[in-house]
Amino acid sequence: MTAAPVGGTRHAHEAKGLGGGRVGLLGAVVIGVSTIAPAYTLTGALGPTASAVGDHLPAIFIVGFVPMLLVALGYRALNNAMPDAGTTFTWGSRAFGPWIGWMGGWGLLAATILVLSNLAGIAVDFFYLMLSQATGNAGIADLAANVPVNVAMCLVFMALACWVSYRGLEATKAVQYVLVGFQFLVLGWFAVAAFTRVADGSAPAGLSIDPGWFNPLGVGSFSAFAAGISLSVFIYWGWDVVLTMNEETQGERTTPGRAALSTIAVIVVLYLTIALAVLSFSGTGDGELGMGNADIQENIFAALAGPVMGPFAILMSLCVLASSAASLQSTFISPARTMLAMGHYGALPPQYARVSRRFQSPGYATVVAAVVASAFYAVMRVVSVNVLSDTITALGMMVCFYYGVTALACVWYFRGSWGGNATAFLTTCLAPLVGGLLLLVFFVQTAVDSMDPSYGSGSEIGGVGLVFILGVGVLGLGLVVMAVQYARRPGFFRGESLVVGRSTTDA
Amino acid sequence: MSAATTTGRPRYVVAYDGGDRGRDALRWSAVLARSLDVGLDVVVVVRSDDPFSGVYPPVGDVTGVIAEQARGWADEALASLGAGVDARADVRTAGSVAEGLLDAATETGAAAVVVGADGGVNPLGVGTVARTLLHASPVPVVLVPRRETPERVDHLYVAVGTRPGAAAVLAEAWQAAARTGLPLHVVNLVEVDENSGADPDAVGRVRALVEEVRSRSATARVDVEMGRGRTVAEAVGSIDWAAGGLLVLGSSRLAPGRQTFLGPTAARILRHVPVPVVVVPRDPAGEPAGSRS
Repeated sequence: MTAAPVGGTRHAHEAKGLGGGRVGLLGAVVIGVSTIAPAYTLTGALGPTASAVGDHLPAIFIVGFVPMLLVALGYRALNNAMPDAGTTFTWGSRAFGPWIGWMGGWGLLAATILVLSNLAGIAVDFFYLMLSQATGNAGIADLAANVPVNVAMCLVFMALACWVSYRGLEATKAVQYVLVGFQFLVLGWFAVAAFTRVADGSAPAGLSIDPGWFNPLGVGSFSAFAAGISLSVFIYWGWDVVLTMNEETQGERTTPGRAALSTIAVIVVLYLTIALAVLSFSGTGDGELGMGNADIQENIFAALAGPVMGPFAILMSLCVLASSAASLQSTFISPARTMLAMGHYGALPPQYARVSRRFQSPGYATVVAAVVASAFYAVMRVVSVNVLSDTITALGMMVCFYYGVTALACVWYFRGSWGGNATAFLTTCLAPLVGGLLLLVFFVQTAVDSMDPSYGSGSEIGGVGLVFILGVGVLGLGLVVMAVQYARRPGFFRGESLVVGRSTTDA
Repeated sequence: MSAATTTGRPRYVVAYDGGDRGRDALRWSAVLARSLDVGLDVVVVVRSDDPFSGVYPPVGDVTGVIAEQARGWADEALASLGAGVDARADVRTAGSVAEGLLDAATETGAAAVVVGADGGVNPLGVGTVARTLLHASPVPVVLVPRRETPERVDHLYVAVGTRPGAAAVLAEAWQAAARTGLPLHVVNLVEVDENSGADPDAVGRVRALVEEVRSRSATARVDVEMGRGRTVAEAVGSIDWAAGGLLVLGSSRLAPGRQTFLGPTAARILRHVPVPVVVVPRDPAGEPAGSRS
């Protein structure tokens, strides 16, 4: 921070934490699970992942966790050394200089804009599905397929979520406990119902669990493997918040570690259970309820909840709607804060650093995020038949990119500080190096594959796959915006606000 | 530790957020500072991150960036107060604005917290911060309206009923009047309708109360005024409020220990009265809270 002491101001207090309400083990797990929004994530990502790796879904869910964990260790090390609003942007700039730092920040922004549009799309689907289930009128669910109606509703959701974020309103502890509890209840119910139907022979596929599903080497090609890992990086995206909560947890010595391990265990078990349940129930064929059916892939619970849960399917609609609505609101905070930090350091125009005095929220940046995400969704809805699965695939790529940059920034930033300390070497060099390289390899592989117009849902623009345009095109756009920024405000790029290298104030 | 003891001048914490309510608090605080010879601590509270907010994906804490801007707001506030007022500014981080204000009040040994009370569209009549303070503050809370400020505060009012506790509030206001030399108006606000009419004994009981306090208090200029109307708004409107008035209200008897808590009648009075209102904490020991400063 470049803040100079301000005349007349006596002192600034730094009081972290919540007074009496510090976070215990259960609270930390709830926070970790709430940030990955399992009901939303699974309904959006199960189908695309299955279409990439077939019945090796469980294997990918286990293997995909590894690079995420390795990178998260680096993320935590950077967060401890340089706690900063800009995260990837700031750390990238401090390690590699302003250009790479700027692009890392852009990758984070692009990922959040993609996830916002996907979240809103899922929320719209389930909104109409729930209305149709509640009224018994099947026609209402089909409204989601009507492009103008769909886009209009999506804009309403976006505007609402933007307004809530602008006002600085955030979910409370009680709300998070209820949301997470409800998701567990409904997803558990779904899994039990699916296995019951497999057992009594009423499931369309009715497969018994095959050990081969757990073999990652069984995935047909490296392309499929890379695509699967990119997607699983997306589904695990967010849990690492428990690693950076050190200061807020009770019993600071043991709780953060145990909270992280517990969260990992809970999430992996939950994801595996649902993956196995869906796989056994539906199989990967392209039948009406098969996971290979492109029509149901992009929002799998919308298609399966009815056949699996019967009249209680409306609970699944409520569950995903609540999960995606809560995430929609909390996801606005991420790009807004990143833009705030970038504006603060002069990497974006100064209005991005504007804070609403009344609500203490990054007002301008929040509105920009909403406008861009809404416009993006509206365009995509018109261009792509399967907008949800294409955005999810591109999103996985984008997360691989910016997490990869973050991990390598960690290695480069801490280089030369290992000096025989095995733990430091492991957490700030080996783990993030391997994790970061893996993510960047998967990013490149998916980028190359996605140039094929038949990639993903098969949407294309000018003979180039839509996923490529979303993933690589958006990064290319970032280069252009960065060049414009350099031309107009070169200060940041000359290192005037963020200096490369380790400063003496870093612990 | 507090400046109050080193300079002997009581200090008020002023809730400033850089917005409209903060400016209300600032304008009125300047008047109070000039009229009552108090020092001001302009406090900007930056809300810290709630780990349960579930930001997705996780990003950094922006509290530092916001605090830096808040220091700019605090400087504007000091500049607008001018050199004639003994004022300092403080930017602090807390879980909620009210929490930060109360921490600041405890730390500085403040005699009161001044907050803009304009409720906007809020049906409860006062803003969230003011309402939270009213439910938790161990020191008097000064609620200021969104109105033109007078040159000085030159009349004290105290609203008393005839229930137990009225004597303590009256005694407190009395001491304030004696200390400042301002005239004290004891007002009794009662809703009357066509059926019940005014309770003929009420006037007598209030006068008896005044006499009782007079007998054990310092001298002060005191008069008694009766506000009557079909509604609280009418009862309040029947009093001829001086432009430089300041109304002292007691906390509800429901307030736990030494805390403020607004009773239902007091809340209605608050909505209609045209002058700033000081809500003093209930004090079980009988020691007037204001005398500490």
